[in-house]
Amino acid sequence: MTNKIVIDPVTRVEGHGKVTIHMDDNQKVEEARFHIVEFRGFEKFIQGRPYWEAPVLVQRLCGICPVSHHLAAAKAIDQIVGAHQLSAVGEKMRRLMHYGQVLQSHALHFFYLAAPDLLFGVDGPVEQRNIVGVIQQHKDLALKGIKLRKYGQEIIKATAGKKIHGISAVPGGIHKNLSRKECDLFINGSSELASLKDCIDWNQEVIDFMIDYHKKNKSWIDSFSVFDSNHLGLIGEDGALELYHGNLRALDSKGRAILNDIDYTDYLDHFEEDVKEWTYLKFPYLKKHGPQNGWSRVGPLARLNICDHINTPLANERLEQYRKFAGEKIINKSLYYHWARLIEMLHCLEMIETLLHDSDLQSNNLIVTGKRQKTGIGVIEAPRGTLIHHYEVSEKDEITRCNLIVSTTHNNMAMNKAVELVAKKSLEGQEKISEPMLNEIEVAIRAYDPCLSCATHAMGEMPLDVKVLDSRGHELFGRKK
Amino acid sequence: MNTLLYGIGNSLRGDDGLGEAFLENCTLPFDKYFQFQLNIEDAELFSKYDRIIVVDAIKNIKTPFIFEKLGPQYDNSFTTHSLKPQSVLALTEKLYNKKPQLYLLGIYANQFEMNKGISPAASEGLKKALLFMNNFITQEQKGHYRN
Repeated sequence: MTNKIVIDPVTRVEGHGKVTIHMDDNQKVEEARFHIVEFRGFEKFIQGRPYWEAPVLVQRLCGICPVSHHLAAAKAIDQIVGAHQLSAVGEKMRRLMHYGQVLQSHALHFFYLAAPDLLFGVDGPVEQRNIVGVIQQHKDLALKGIKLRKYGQEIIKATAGKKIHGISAVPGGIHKNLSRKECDLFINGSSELASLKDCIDWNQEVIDFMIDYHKKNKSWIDSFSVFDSNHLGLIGEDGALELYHGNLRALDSKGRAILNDIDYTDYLDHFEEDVKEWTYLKFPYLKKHGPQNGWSRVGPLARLNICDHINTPLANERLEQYRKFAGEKIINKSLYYHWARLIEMLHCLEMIETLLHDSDLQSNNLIVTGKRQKTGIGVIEAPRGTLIHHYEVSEKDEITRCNLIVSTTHNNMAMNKAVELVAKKSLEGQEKISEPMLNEIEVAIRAYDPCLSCATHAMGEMPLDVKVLDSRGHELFGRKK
Repeated sequence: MNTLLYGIGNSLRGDDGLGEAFLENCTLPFDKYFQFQLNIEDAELFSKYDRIIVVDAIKNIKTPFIFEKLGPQYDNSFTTHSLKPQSVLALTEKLYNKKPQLYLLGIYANQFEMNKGISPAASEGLKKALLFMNNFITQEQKGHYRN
């Protein structure tokens, strides 16, 4: 007879998911799965709409990382209108928007979702392990987190028109520039907004905190949810970390190239998606390596694994420190995602600084056009990883096909692997399943910062659950939030 | 009184657009702010006002609208997709040592389909809520209401 444990919903992640763990009579894990049970609909929903609506419509599948969808769709639609090279202001305004988005999304995840586990411990009092607990016990840290996130959101508002579901990226460019006065406000700050320097200083402080945390918890971090995988992401031409535009690179767990800096418009030649009957989330993989060996991790950990360096000095220094601490270039330890995320925040702040001093942002050459095409493919590194938008458009300008492969989808196999490993380590042989044991499973998932609404392109309300069931499918333990 | 009208919702989802519609139609001389949902950083925004009136679509009420004063309340079940006004108020007190008054103006809503606009029943509630708010503020200015 097997027992089944259900965690439903998984908490402090974006959207709603469920974990089920089947235990046998000897308290061994037979099977552990991370299910996404939301309705998938946007790929169908968008069909028949005029192509120029895609950047505004598709982003509405998410309220957390809409900028990434807005920009990935815009990049794809640029190809439809034949705009293969944007104007300087078009490219730089979009980049600024994107760095603001990654900054605010990573800040949200670190301060609001991950920090409670790091500050109070995975087995800390459950009533304390939340953002309210962080605010009550670490007010200064919480205030800095709020200001960092706000900084990113204000960048988005200034470049996209709104904090959520912006409208400024249009086919072939951008519909607004940024005045010198606006740029100076972001550099110097105001009574309402932190200065750029303060943001960089705070980010550095948090990285120092993270290093200290790793030193104090090294044995746990180095053994928690560690498994080999491939790592995938965009890469700059010089091998630098690239969040906005580049080629696709994948390395295996030892650092060997398995996808060698390809043009992302050729993605269909290299990728396929597997489906399972127990989840709406697909399983993308590299065709050449098959579904079992071809899946990759994406996001901050993967991006820092595949890049040769970072082209901003402070972040690059932190990257070297990070690799030196880990003692390896390719890191396969899930909890390093948090540290990698903070380094990317620093990179974003440095890129924002560079762009804010660039007079191209005041140019009025906002939109370019070219020869109309039927197909557009846009790829961007969203906060959670590689995001692919692909549209086919008819002669009547209607979208006839849409394919979205979102970051969390790439991480699907990795999250399932993480759940299985942690379940085996924490639950096997235990007579009684405690809340901290189940939280360990959530901690493993949380490291990936999954966005479940994005992953299924959901429309509607979203819950996330954990359950343990016996061999007959009866629920033995569960939690739902 | 330094007052903020804070509308919540998604105007693409039928009656969920009531918060935004209220702000567009309200002529009171208050600051107005609209978002899809409340966020933790709104605690900072709340701290700058004496009074915040949150306007949102509400299901399962038997009247065209409700208007009630809310107190601070910590909510441990925080997700980034859902934060109660009372929780933001509690965070405002904790983080910024400010205690603004907080009210909820909830307007009856019953359909949330894409691109359907505001339903006739919700529109009726919206009109009544706008009238009520105008009267409430007028009476307050005459000194008829005390908090």
